[in-house]
Amino acid sequence: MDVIKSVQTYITKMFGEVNGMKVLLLDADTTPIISMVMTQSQLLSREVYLIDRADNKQREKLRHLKCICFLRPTGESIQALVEELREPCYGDYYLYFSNTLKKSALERLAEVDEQEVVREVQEHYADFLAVNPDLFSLSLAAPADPIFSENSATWDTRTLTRTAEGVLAALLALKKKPLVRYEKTSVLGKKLAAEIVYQIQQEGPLFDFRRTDTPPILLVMDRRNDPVTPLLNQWTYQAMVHELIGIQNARVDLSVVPDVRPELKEVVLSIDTDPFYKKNMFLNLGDLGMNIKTYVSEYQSKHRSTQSIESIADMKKFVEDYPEFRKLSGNVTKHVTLVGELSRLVGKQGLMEIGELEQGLAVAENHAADLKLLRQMIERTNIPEDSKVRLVLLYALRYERSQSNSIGALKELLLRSGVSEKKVGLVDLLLQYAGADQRVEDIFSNQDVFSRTKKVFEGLKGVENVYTQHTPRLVQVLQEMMKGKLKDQLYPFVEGGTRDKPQDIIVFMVGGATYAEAREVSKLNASTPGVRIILGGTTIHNSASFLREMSDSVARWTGKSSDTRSPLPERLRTVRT
Amino acid sequence: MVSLAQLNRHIDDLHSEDDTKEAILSWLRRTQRRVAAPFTRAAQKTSETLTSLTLDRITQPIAAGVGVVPPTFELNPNGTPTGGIREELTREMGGAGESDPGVETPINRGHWQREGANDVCASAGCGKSLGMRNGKHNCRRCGRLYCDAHSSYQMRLTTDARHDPVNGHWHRTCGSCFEGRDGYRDTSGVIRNRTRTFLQLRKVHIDRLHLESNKLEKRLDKVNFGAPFLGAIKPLPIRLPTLIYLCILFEFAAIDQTVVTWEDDSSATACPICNKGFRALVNRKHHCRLCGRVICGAEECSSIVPLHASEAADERHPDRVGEIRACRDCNSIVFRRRADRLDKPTTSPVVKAYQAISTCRARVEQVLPKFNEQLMILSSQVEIKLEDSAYLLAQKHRKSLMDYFAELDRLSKQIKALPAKSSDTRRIQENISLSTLQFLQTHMFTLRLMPNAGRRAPAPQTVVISSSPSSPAPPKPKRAAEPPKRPLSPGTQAELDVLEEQRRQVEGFIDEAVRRRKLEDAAMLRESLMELEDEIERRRAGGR
Repeated sequence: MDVIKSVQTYITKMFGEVNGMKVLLLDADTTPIISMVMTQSQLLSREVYLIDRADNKQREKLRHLKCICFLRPTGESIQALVEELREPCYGDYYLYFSNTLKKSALERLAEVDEQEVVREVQEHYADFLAVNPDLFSLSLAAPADPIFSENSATWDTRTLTRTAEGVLAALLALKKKPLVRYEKTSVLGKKLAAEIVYQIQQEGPLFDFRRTDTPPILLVMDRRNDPVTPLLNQWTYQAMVHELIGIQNARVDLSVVPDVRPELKEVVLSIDTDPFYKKNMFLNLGDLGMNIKTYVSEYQSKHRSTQSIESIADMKKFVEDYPEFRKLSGNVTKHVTLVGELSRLVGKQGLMEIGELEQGLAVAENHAADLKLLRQMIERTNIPEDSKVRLVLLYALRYERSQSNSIGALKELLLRSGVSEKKVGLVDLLLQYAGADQRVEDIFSNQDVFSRTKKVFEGLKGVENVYTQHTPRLVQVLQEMMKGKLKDQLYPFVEGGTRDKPQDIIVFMVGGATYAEAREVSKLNASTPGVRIILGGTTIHNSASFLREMSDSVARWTGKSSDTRSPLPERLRTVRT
Repeated sequence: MVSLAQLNRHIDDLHSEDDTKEAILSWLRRTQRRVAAPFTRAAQKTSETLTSLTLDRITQPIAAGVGVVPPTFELNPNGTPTGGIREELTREMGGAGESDPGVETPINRGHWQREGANDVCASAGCGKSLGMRNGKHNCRRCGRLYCDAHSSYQMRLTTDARHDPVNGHWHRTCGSCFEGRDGYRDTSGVIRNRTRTFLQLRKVHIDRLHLESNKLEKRLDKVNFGAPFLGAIKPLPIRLPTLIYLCILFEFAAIDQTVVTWEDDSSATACPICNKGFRALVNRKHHCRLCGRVICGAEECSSIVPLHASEAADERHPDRVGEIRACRDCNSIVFRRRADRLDKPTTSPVVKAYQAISTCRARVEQVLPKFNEQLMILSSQVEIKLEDSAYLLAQKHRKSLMDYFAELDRLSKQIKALPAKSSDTRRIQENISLSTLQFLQTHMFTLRLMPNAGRRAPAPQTVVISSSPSSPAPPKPKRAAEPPKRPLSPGTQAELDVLEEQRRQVEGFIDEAVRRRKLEDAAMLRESLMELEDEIERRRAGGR
């Protein structure tokens, strides 16, 4: 189970069927799908010499080229293809669709292909962005693709369809016909799970796979049950880059970095072609620093040997090593710039202290001390507003149920320190979005005696790193599931059921996964023989995108949101008075 | 002394679970119950299992047997093979270990590896000695012995140790059996081929289209038949009286109407194509001569189609014998075939050059493995003689490879230099040349591994030959400065070839570096290029 390999296999098959000079036509959806797993030179080596958008009207007629179309069967793409086939620019057409093509669309295409240029029509289910070998994303985030429509229990129809299609495509790409489980409290998760099961039944023959020892499990989870993970600062490479700079389709925009060299304005982080990244993506900043040091010195030693070209033999050696050397040189600069920028941001924004408090809020109950520290943080000026707000958000989540909480007072403090009202409003929005009432389980383990005790025992194990104490809730769920102890009442099956311990697990997070979770999944994959886990999400969040999604969603509910009864405003009022 | 049970009862009766201490105790209690429960059950089962105990199970020594999974103790039969507390307890209980295997579903043990005194884990790269510390387990499927970690997989096996996902029972297996199951490492996803459905749908449509187009072509021929006369009349030098001219026109309209019945003018109110209403002067009515419909004269709805003496004649023949009006629909149908003919890919110079490149590449891919093979043979020899057959063969392959590479390079430059009409063509040409360069880079390096005759070959283990582009460049055998010039031509020629090759490559790199704005690299390369050219010159002079 490796989503990157699956997508690559699909693409290789597409190009393998056609010999000769090729042009590749893509649409808005498939462009990132391909660019996540293929480089320009890999495409060139498969004789793809021209890549263009299918809806580009200004294409030249080149009848000697063969055309490969990889499109998502959306209305727009089909329309673009219809127009293309009416007046074909290229010689032969090989049509590949990233998902199930409707009969009507097929008929339409057949009708316009009067010049009989289409040679092949296939469905290759690479309809998701393969981020890591065990992480995929559908890149659906508010406001462009909102999850909710008018209340917290209703999917946006378009997003639901897209999500279901994306998950089904992932299942087909991995050849899994799973039993589907969902979180009981999540209405959206239940709806999606039911939709997926229904679609699997509809597409019966497609899902006819070899029997496995135990059926694979698809677990649909809801981001709202763990709002803490996306709010925390991250300290491992991949997650940190996403949190502090942002990764968009494996590309990192560095144009905001001061004094950046022009060729590094945008860099690509690809596991496939960047061995350093592959090795270090899950390491924390400290270890990363060490590794990058050795990486640089390795480069320098190579560089020195190439600088002293005196004899023809040196020259030859240089030429032999040159392509590799050049690749290495580019890569070294890229990572040095990235890590440099990360540590600059950490220093500038005082992230070490913030991180410590964040972790404290996330894992341990310590009201008085937390509150004191938090007040100090808010009053300091060298800490960015967003971090302050995030700290208060974490505080609010943890102490929401506590009688003596001072959420109100903290909000006022934020306002006084010059944070805009809109940002302070996030606190209420978050509690509405993912407050204790909305969550399935007690993620902070502070609501009853039993969980508190468990916490005490866990605390005895000792802390490895003060910045990485918090483990996402997903880990606990997965561990229970691997032991076969995940409760059926809390995580019901849509249909059927098994008591076996699962060997292949696909987790899909409605509302977006995080790179922190991806790291945990990859750790679990490495440490548990015989179990393979893949994580997927509607998108991959950092704190900024999570808060954006959250406020957008709550804004959609308000007005009509009768079902999200929130006792919160009442209580806040009493606290304030 | 109070027994644990008594203590439990006491706690249940007197202490409610409201403080932390209490909670801890209750947790302990539950754990204790959980741990103890299996043993009571096990005790009940002992009698049954003892009877079902077969001889070969007893041969399994207890030391190794303790690790055997007692699956029925678990709620779930495929529990990860027990380690930790339960196993330790089992060991403490002494004889209990013996009775445990009885509950595992029977499985054939004929193929099991016999245990010896110094067994090591069969997993590649593990090599731990097996025993109490690391555990010792037979993979139930392949029968080999493994340590705890490398046999902690579970799969469903039948009693004769075949994998059966449906009727099998859970058994401990090794990683390679587990991952060796059919399709476990399969990365190819589902593909649904809709081509056949598409072709069927298209065929229906195309057949109808053919029929239509045949019909229209016939009509066109008929119209054509009348047209030459009209065409002949028009350019007549004498000005015919308008009335007569109109009469003739009317006559031909009549001919046209024999081809297809014209739609009645009065019944048509709007153009069927653009839906615009007809007006007396602004939007006049026209008849399509091929289908007879009334249409408007707008450019997108109908057009004047030139007629040629014969459709079979050369399409670029300039002789126009007449013209008729045809609506858009008919126009596209009747001229579909001709458009098809006109659009056929012309043999542009790019296509030709590209075909040459493809053949060259294919040849390289044929010859290169042979060459590498010879290299392997050569590298295993200590002394290489000039008349050695492997050396000669390698030399021959190398020569042809060099020719192909030179040819590829030439072609790629040629393609790049071709005039491009548009940005698309330019991009294609650039990309082709770029990919050829890539191809050269990934395939050329083994050429330099060619050992020189008469010299000691490099130590064999340093040469790893691979032609796949993904594999890292193999360590190159170290060669000191070039050997002194030899008066013999083959050696010098070969050296010159190498140098030429390198010069070309460096030139390519310089282009590349300049394009990528890596100017310091380019400067360095330029220096090297000059050096290289000097060297070539010197050699040329020496060779002569």
